[in-house]
Amino acid sequence: MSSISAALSGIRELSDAELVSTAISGGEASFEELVRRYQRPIVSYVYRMLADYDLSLDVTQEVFIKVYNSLERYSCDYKFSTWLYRIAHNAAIDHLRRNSVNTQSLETENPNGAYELQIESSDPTPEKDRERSEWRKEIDIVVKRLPTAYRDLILLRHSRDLSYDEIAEVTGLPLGTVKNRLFRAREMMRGLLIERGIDGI
Amino acid sequence: MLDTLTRDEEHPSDCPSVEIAAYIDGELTADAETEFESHLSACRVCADELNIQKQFVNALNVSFDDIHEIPGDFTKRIVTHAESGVSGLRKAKERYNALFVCLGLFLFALFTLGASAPGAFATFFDVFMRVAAVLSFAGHLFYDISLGVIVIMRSIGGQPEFFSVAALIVVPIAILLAFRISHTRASREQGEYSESASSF
Repeated sequence: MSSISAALSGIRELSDAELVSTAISGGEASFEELVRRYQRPIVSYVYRMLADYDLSLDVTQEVFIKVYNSLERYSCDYKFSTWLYRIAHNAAIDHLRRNSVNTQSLETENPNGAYELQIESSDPTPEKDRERSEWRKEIDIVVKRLPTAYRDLILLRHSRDLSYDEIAEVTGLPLGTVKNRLFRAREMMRGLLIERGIDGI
Repeated sequence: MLDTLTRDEEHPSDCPSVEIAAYIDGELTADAETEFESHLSACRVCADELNIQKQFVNALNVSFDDIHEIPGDFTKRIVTHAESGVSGLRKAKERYNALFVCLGLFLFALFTLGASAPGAFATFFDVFMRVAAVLSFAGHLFYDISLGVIVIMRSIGGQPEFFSVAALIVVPIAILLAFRISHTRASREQGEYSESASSF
């Protein structure tokens, strides 16, 4: 039993690239560890893109199956996370296109907050917690109202913490367009928050 | 705090607004950063805009927590689905097993077909046997000739003077024979030509 836990802790210390190469050479636990590492960020990103919790689980599963099927084609020149986000980005965009979801209708589809996020909270005081959760709720509403192209960039930058270069790789956009659109997206968000009468951060 | 979110109406159009966003994100090149900072020290409007944007970006960075609720068996479900797919990573042993099973099934199908219809493969086996016989004959012939040549070459190789004597005898004979053959062919062609000429 101790040898199993030792092997597991060993796997947890491996880098993403090492996990990919051991998964290719037959290490069953390596792919599982990659899924464990990235499932939450991918679900969160896809959920915010599609605004449907169950659908985001399905799409995340699709993404990881695609990753598994093309692991042998993964090039170590890229960060594994960038490659993974590119696949997730394509899956989410494909889904939006297939179902031709109107980005403007995302909010009206859920007037009662049916898809309200269950988010982690680590605030010490209930008052501050409430303030923060109010702000996050507003941000969620505003993000849903952004056009897909803007929402994507805002999420990749501020939720996934990707650099401009990584965003350019994930979305396939030129670096200048990423820079420009991100600025416009933030401006639009600020405008929408003012429209909603937000008077504090 | 509303005013912190409101854009300054007097913001000049030639000020680098996009650069402010990239500067906050730490995404400007060293040169562009120095240039922007020198502009910033001279432009009050940009300095204010920078503060507003920075405040907003800081608030935005802590606004997106990861989803907490993920089904307990989600990882296992993904891994099982991925590994049960037809494509994707397959272990070498698994591939060999598949090949072995396919081969076994093929042979089984062949035997059962042969047993149920004895004449079904008659033509195939007939052709196969003929090809095998021709190949076997050609193989034997090649083997015998090679063996003979090797034996002769070995005996010649052991006695160099014999080789030169043999060459002295064989080469003139070969030349004479070649000359004779070409001569008879030429005379025959000439005869044919005279025959055809006389027929006219």
